[in-house]
Amino acid sequence: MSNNIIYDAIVVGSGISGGWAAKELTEKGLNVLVLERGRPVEHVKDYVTEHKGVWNFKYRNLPDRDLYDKEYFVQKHNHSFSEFTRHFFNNDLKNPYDYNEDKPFYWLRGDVEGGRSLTWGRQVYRFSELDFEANQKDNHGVDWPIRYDDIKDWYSYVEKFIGVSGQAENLPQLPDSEFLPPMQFTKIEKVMKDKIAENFDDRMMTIGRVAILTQAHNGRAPCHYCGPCHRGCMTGSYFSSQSSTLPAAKKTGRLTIRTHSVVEKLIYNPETKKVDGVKVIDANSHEKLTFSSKLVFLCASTVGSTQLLLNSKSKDFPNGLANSSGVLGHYLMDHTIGISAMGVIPGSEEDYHYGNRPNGTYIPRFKNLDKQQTSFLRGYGYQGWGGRMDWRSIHTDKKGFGKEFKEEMQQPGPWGVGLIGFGECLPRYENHMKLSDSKVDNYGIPQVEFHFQWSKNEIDMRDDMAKEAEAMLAASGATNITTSTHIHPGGGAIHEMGTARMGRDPKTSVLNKHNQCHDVENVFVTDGSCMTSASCVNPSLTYMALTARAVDYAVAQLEKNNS
Amino acid sequence: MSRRAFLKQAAFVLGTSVSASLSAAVLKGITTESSARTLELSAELKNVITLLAERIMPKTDTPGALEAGVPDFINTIVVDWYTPDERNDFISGLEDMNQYCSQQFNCSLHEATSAQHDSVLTEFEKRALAIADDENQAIFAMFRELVVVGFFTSKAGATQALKHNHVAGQFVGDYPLSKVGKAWTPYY
Repeated sequence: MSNNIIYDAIVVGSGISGGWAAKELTEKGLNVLVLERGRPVEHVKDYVTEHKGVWNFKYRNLPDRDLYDKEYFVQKHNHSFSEFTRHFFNNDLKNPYDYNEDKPFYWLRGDVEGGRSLTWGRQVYRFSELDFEANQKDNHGVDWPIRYDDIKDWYSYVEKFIGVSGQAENLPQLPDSEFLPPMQFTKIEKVMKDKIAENFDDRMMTIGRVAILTQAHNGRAPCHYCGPCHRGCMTGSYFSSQSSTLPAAKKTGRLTIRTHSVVEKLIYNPETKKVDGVKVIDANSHEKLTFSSKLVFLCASTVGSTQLLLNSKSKDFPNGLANSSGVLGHYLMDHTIGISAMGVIPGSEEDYHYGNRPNGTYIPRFKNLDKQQTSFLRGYGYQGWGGRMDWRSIHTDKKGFGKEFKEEMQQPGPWGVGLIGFGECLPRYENHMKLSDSKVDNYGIPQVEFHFQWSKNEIDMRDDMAKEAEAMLAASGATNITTSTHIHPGGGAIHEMGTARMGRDPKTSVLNKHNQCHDVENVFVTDGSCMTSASCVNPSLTYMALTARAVDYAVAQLEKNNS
Repeated sequence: MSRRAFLKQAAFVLGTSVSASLSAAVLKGITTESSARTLELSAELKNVITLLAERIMPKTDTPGALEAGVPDFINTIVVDWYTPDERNDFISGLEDMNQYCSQQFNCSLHEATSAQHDSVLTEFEKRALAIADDENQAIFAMFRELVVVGFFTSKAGATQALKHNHVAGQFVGDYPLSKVGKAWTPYY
């Protein structure tokens, strides 16, 4: 069956990038079809666990181990995954992919309308000039085709829309955003901040920069500090496609969203050298459909978009659409993530906090800024926090039972502090995803197969992350410090990126400086697959800025061709 | 650092919802198919669980374990959630306590007085402290943890025994404990 409507643009995916593409394209006057493979999730109505007491769940706050081991053996590693959010995640049994058991890769997916914008960590940081120059300076990967100046105004543009709370610090390696007022430190975090400033001249601590409103903004209400954003937010106080971009796109009257729509292939027309449309499998009926458009924006997530390009083979592109370079699927990156150090800061027993702050602290990168100082290249930052422990972690240390024990458990425990390292990963050809030669998914589409390992650079950096975290906790007066160099397998930071990288040369990259395929001028890829290097900061804000920037260019080109 | 110490800290720093030793069980996952899910605890065993749970988290100016429905929670965990090994450890642990009770007081836990229950619990806490094994939990630690988790995640425990401030409306980083009085109910 084919649909006779020719849309101006098709957007594949409705997550952070897809929502932005939909908003920008419709606001510029285009008729847009968003294809989402998952089920619809309606703002507010479908946040079925929001504000629901833990006592309403069969195992309370404990995971359903039996079920997770059988059906969610990958997704259970997501920091947001629990019985409170399981409905926003994929069932692993029904969504198979492949990897070698020795080299696991966590593909953490939320294939629902809004995608992972519903459950993301909401931390937003700008890439800096240091990041855009990194590949060129140390000769890993290819050079970014853009610099900070090319994207800086687009950062401002998206930040003013989504609302970012944070503190301006004027650091070259972590440019400031357009900030709403910052959230407050706890008492002990203030102590840490001061002690770090006193004891180290190369680093500092700031409050987390987060896409959560600290005051009313663009018709959305400020945070009500209930805490667990990932269950969904009825006041739309954190950025998600549902709370922000999709409503803006809908308001134009030019948006159509089709859920349960698995895009199988892009249809390449060798005469026009453009893509005419997309082949879709209806996830419920398995009916095959075709939709046509002038422009296609791939925002199906890093792995999803690259899988789609690889699967869109034709006589002209036998190795996958827009893959004349042969690098499609390669240079897969993630961040190394792990608890670097934890400890307890004695005292301050009369101090506490009020409300549930869905945010922590941040220590920006301080290694290898102006010159190469370490055996490893590039650097890392930390997210952290300090707060009073409670019965969940103190009960094993207390003796006894009965009235006195109960009353002790009802009181807050000592102040616990911790730092979680996020390390940059080098772009390497060997780290890649491909289509399986033998295994297909439930729609007959070849499964994704991962080949990913951390390199010596990431391992060496990880050791330094633990050492420096320990030093900062010690300087802050922490005792009982424990350090760890454990990092998750690839994918564990849920910052998977690369695989359809931007670059200057069509022979070594898939996308140009406008996120446009070198080989196919009406296809743009603006999710994490476009990333040429990874930085050490959370990447979603950069996907948003690149998406808005790419739409601006794509629509200008379209208008030029029409006139 | 021991595995347990790490898990305990991780439970806090990561903001995970599970308490320390249950998180050890969580990380273990279920590696073998557990077929014995139809098992039911005897009425006598359920009664013993109820009596001991109330000794651990008694009614004070706030509800105790019984009023908070802790015995039902423990029953659910032991029957549905525990692996066969964990279940066996739990039940044989309670049998050891029962045997000790019989030797000391010539009666079963089922028939014992509150003072006798306290004496058994005290003895088994002593034995638990002697076990410094990360993987094998003594029955006292296992039982007390179930009571603590079951109690503070119950409606009565979460909303009455702790300071429940569900939709706080603001965040103040430096706020005196004296104005709160007890620990905030955690969010998950």
